[in-house]
Amino acid sequence: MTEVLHIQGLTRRYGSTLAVAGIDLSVGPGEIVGLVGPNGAGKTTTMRMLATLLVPSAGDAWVAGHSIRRAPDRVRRVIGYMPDSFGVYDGMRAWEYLDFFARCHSIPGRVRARLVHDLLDLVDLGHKRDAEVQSLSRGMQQRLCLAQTLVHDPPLLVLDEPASGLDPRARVELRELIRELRAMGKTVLISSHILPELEELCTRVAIIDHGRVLAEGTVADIERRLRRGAVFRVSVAGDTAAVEAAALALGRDPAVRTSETLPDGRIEIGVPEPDTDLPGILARLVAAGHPVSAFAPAVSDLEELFLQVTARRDEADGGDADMTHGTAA
Amino acid sequence: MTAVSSATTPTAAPTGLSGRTDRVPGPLRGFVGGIIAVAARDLRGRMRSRRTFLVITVYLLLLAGFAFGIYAYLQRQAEMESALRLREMVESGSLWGVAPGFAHSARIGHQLFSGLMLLQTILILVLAPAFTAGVISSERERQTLDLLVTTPLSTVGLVVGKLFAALLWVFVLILASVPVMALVFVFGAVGPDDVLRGYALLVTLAFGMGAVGLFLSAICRRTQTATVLASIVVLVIALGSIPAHALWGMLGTETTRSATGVTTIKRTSRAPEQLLWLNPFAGVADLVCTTAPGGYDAGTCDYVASVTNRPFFGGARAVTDDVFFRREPMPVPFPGNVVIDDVGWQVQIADWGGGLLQVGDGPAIRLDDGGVMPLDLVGGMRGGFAIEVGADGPGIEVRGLMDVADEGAEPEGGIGAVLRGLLAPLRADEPPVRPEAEPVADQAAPSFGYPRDTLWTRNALAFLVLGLVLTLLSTQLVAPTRRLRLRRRSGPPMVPATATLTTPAAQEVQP
Repeated sequence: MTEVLHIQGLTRRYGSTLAVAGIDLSVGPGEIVGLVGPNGAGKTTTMRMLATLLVPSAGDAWVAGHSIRRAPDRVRRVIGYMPDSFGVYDGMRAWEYLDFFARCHSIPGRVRARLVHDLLDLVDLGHKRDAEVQSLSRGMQQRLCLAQTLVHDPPLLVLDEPASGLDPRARVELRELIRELRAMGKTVLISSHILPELEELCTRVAIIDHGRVLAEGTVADIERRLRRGAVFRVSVAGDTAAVEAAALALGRDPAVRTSETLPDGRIEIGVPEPDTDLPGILARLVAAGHPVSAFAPAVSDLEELFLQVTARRDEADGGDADMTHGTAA
Repeated sequence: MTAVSSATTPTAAPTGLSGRTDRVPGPLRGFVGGIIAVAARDLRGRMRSRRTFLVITVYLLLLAGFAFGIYAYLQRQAEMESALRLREMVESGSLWGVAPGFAHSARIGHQLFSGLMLLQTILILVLAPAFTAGVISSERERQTLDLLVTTPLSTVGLVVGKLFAALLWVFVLILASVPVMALVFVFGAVGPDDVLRGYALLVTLAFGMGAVGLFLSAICRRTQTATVLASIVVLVIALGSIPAHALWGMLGTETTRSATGVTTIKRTSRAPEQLLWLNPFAGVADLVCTTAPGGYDAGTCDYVASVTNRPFFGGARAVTDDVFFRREPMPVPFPGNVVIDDVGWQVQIADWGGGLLQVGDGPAIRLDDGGVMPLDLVGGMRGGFAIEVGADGPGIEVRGLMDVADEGAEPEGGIGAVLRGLLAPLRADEPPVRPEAEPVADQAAPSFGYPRDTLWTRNALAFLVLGLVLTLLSTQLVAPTRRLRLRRRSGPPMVPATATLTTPAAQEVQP
């Protein structure tokens, strides 16, 4: 098996609740795959199963060829797992923390000292070597925990919401760090409930909700496959009358499906396809003499995409599956 | 399923981190390494806190204070007693009795040993589960357990390491108490082997009770719950089993009263000694019973003998020192009336007014008419006595009044006559239990001497077994995927019950 990670029909049930309802996924070496989904979608459960913390109810997954069901001990040696919420020990210094986990991985003493030093440098905590772990900032703790997952040099890293609770600066630092890990040849499975966060980082994403993979592929792939419409906002210079006129004109435009005036004086239009003739709409609007001052997507593409995918799923669950209806909620 | 085609394979960048061989550590290394790593971490954290030193100080102060209290109390009591005794001797004109100041030092030694053992037992019962009740649940609360469990440490190593670190701390307390305990050597009566036995019991107790805390810590989500539950469980084991044992013994008797006024108490069942195997106080009683000045402490030894149903032999004491019937030394054994066999059971007759009368020891009383009446134990009552017949198993207890109208006077015809009179109606009603009918092999040979080392060794063993079992169970609870493979797991993954659910959901979304 050439995949670093191969998931097949992975299922986990908590009583009558189906937390993970059969996930299939393959991750090749060097990939950074994002698991995206709303809270409660089954991301954490999936990752905990991969980290051998939970036994799957059905299905199996192989990490570097080792089954998580049959050879959990081997899996633990080839996986670096960072839980979504993790604690730190009191009264322990940063280097001791890493040293402790290195010991847990039976790394001999002479290698350990250098390893801890290198890891601290890698996550940019070299200057905090002797700092008490609980005195570190959240971002630093997050990086320290990431360093801990690297102690045994695993080919696969499973990072559960590593960026949650971080400020933008720490997020950027973390992203840089993960890029660096990729350059080191690591394969990374990373989860987030915010799709844009993963956009630049991941080679592929899998959108998960209700324990299933709803869409999978590169962001562009998913976008192409799923997008059935988009929402744009148009601002028109002038008074209310000018806005009303523009809204009316847009409503009559053949390429526009819906047109609505927002309370703040902007017009929101829905178009059926993402590659609708937007320049045409704009040109016709301007040609008609409306003083257009702005014409932009209503929300970020990815967020919209994410909402679309998960909303569709909700509708399907509600029994009212209108697959062509693609307006963002 | 999507293929891996989109994977970009970067050239494996050399890092400073991979200068290691991909050596897979063996199970033993994982186990030992786990213990060392986890215990070292826990101890490092613990020894940095000031609380550690505070606890040791308080523990030792408590022991030392208690020891001093015992000493001061006994000294005062001894002074009062000698004064009283002296006055009695002067008033009665008799010089028989315990000389003033007799065995005071040894008594202090014995009481110090008993007191310190008791206090340490209580402290360990409180501290050991309290220290261990947090080891797993606090990792869970701190959310560090997942990090530990995903390392290749063996779970047994992990759990044993944590238990060891917590217990080491209790062992430090036990070790720190040695100088205080060594005070008993100043006073005597207690030998180094007694102290070693005591520490052996304390260490196994700490392990067993620590494992109770560990197990509850592995079950409970919260440390608080685990701590409270551990205290309750330990309380039930340590305090609940003694009354339970006594109640069982009481319920296992049948009392009838004959027309001649003899109350017959038949023992239908004996409370099982096993009930007390996890009770440290029973073990402590066994340990301290023979450290008394006479080599025999009536309270504890009698209790241990009644629990184990093993004979005890008061030695010289039974026939000399303490056999007195209110200032009058008794002829022992009763001439012509009762012959005490040289092995087996000790018979005591006590009258509450005057202290203890020990008739002798032997499995049977041979009456002068040739009949043999095996005796188990004779407990006293005011102005009378009771005889329990039948050494082992169901027996008969006879209670009767002995006319001791005049304090100090020997009953007419000797006690043997009274005894025979009381037993006569009984023997008519019921065939006596013959001693040969109950061969008690393990009691016959070593039955001389004290019942010591019969209970505490079982205690210690029970604590060890309890500790091992609970530790193993705890390892099962720590990581659900790392169960001991008692049964071979079915090889291929099961077909999910809801096979339809495993259809890649992505297909649904695809146009």
